[in-house]
Amino acid sequence: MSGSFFGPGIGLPDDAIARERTSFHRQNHNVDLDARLETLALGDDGLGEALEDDQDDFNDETFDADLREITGKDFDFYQSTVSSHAGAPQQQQQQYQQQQYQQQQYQQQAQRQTQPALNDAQSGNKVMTLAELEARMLMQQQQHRQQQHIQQQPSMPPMDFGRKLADPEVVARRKRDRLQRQMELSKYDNMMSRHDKDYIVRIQISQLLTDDPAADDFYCHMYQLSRGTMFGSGSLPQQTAIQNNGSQDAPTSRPSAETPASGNPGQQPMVEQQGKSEQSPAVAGRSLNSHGSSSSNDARRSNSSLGMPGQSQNHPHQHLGRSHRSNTQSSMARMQQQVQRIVNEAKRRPKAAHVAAEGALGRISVNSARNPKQVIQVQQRGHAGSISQSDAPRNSPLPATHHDLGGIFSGMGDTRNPASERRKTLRSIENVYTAVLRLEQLIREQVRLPQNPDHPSVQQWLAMYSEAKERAWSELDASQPISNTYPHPLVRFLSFSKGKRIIPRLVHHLSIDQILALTTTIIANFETLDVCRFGSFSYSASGSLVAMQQREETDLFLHAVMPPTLAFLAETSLQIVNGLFALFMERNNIAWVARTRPALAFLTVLLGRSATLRQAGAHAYGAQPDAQEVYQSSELYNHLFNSLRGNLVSIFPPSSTTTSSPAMGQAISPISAVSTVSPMEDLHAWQFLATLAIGASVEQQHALVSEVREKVLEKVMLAKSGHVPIDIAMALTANVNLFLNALGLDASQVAT
Amino acid sequence: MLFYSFFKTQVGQQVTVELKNDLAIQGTLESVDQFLNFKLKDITVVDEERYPHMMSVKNCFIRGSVVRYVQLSPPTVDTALLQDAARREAQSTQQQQQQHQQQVSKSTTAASS
Repeated sequence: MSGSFFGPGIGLPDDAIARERTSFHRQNHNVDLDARLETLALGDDGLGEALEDDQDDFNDETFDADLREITGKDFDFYQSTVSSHAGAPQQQQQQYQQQQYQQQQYQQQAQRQTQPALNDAQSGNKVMTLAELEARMLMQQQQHRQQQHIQQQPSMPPMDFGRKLADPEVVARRKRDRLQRQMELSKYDNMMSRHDKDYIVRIQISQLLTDDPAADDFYCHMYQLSRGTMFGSGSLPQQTAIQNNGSQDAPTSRPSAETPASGNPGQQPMVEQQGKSEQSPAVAGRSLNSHGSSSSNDARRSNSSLGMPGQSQNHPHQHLGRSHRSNTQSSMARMQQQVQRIVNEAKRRPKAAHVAAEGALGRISVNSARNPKQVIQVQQRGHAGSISQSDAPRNSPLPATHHDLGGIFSGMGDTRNPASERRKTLRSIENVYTAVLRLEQLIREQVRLPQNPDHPSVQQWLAMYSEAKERAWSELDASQPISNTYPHPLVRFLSFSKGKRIIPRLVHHLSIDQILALTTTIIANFETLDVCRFGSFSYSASGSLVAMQQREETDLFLHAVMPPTLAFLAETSLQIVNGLFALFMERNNIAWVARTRPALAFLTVLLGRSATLRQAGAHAYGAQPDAQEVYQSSELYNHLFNSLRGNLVSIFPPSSTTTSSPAMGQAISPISAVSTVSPMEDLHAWQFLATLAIGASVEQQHALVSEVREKVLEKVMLAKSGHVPIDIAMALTANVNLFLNALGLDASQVAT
Repeated sequence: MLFYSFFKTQVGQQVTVELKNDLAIQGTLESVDQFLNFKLKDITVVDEERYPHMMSVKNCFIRGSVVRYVQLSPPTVDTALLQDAARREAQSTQQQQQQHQQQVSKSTTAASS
């Protein structure tokens, strides 16, 4: 089928060659290879000769046309509307020196064409006919074009990279073509005046404006602040300088999704235009680039940040080489003015999301990017967070896969409705978050306040600040009397991971007393904390999801909640330490709780602090502790020791204890046992033991050593055996040394 | 404007945009606007064979309303900050709604009176 495209006798070239060979004798014995190939290539089978060729009589009539005649003869709509023959663009090119003469020509023609009544000098008379108007516009246009033409000529070096460089004709031709194309493209340039363009830009920018740039662009702004170093050193000083201005009011700063940070550098070009030369475009450039498409793009390039591909985030210091610096500066300045004007107008006439005319029967909703059309309509029932009574009490605890494990308390709420308890707690957590966010926002704004403390705004700020703090504190509910509800609201609060996470941020704003109250409550209810109820090392199944979650929660607790309290402990007086210590031991079952890492950490710090205070005597933090206090702390110590006696080994992670029974000398079992446990697991335990040892009397030390002897030996053996990598061995040794050094011993002294 | 703010921080990162018509495009995020339209640079289509017509396309503009998912890389996202931003957004939306309700009630009372 495909073989017959060129004719019935023609097949693939191979076939042709084959045929050729066989028909060699029939055809002309053409030894010339070229001719043969040609016949093959052209598929010349002689049929061409058989074609009738005598029907060409009417060709000339049909096709007779001179190329020169028909080129350039497109219907010229423009010309026919302007009766003045505007001396077409083609003439323009060649005669730009005679511009003046041409102008006069046009004007005369225009005048000739128009009504005599309206005919007048070109610029004097306001009333012009359409034709005159067009003639004028055209003139202006051509002026512009000529200027551009003159400008661009020097800036277009021959760009032929050597291909046919030497050939001047080609170069000239190319240049001419390029010019020609450019002329054609720019024939309708500059139709909009600057005012028109500004008008459009204003409309577009107004879509982007916001009342509260700090709120609307919060994520982006804070993200860039927190990762400021990534965007190059240039932006940091900028940002710190800007931060001092804090978040400004909408009218004064550049509004819209523009951050307050970029407000200043944006305004700088305007102010500094007269003054600094290098700095302002650089600043503007950097601000443009470092804040990237974030802030500056929004307002400054309103027809979207999409329009400027050259300034991507990847090159923060890519200098604005595309346009002339003056260009950028002036356009920036104009953008500034735009924004100012829009802001002022917007303030005068606030835009509502719904428009209801007087006497109309309904509302028209105005959709913008900020309040888009809702696909799902959600009705607000009552007030948010109301506890719905219709929920059936849940019999089964929440599924274990629930990440925050708040369900651990689901069966223990004091109301009949555990679900509502949970929701109440979550609601209070969110309230605390709201208050903390408010506090942080206030702190950010604090830098703006005037230095004078009597200024009313300062006092107002103080009032707001303390109010928010109060709210946060009351929501936290740390000071509720201990035995009221079980579990304590604070404990419930902390059973959620987001509750744990907000603590350090909140503590930052709290007073010492409040922190003390917080710590007290935590200690008093330590047993009931979720992290303790997990049991630190007794994971349900060490690889399961639940175990991992438990571990995460514990870690989170240790990293988020503990540090503030521990820091507090490390700085208080012996009296308070004693009190807390006593409380701890009184309210919690030490032996049981000591298995948990948080408790160990607490005890370690408590012990350490009391030891320090006892020994240091006159410390900076207060007078020398009373003899009574010292006595008390020793008593407490003894009490602790006695309650832990005999159980000390149990504070270590279980995977080690279970295998500690086999004979110590064997190298095999310790490896399999301990290699599953990294050295960091028992770090807490060793630290605790070390602190314990510090305060121990000789007899107590003996007791200590005898109890943990096996453990120590095991670790040291493992480290020396060489079956574990060197760094783990070193870590193991270091851990053991924590304890041994406290006793005055060292791991190297241990008889292998 | 939370998502807009969020995507502004993603500019310059590698993302994969999955559209509602199942086309998944991977590329560098060049810019984003208030409607969450995306401009991607140096794109590759995830399932090349099904979309041969995309072979020559290097940059593209994607209308926000056709996007189903945008896949990001985790290190570039600050989740704690995102949570905070979301909370603030929720608060401000609540406030706006309350204001609207007030407006509505005002206008209805004005209309009825």
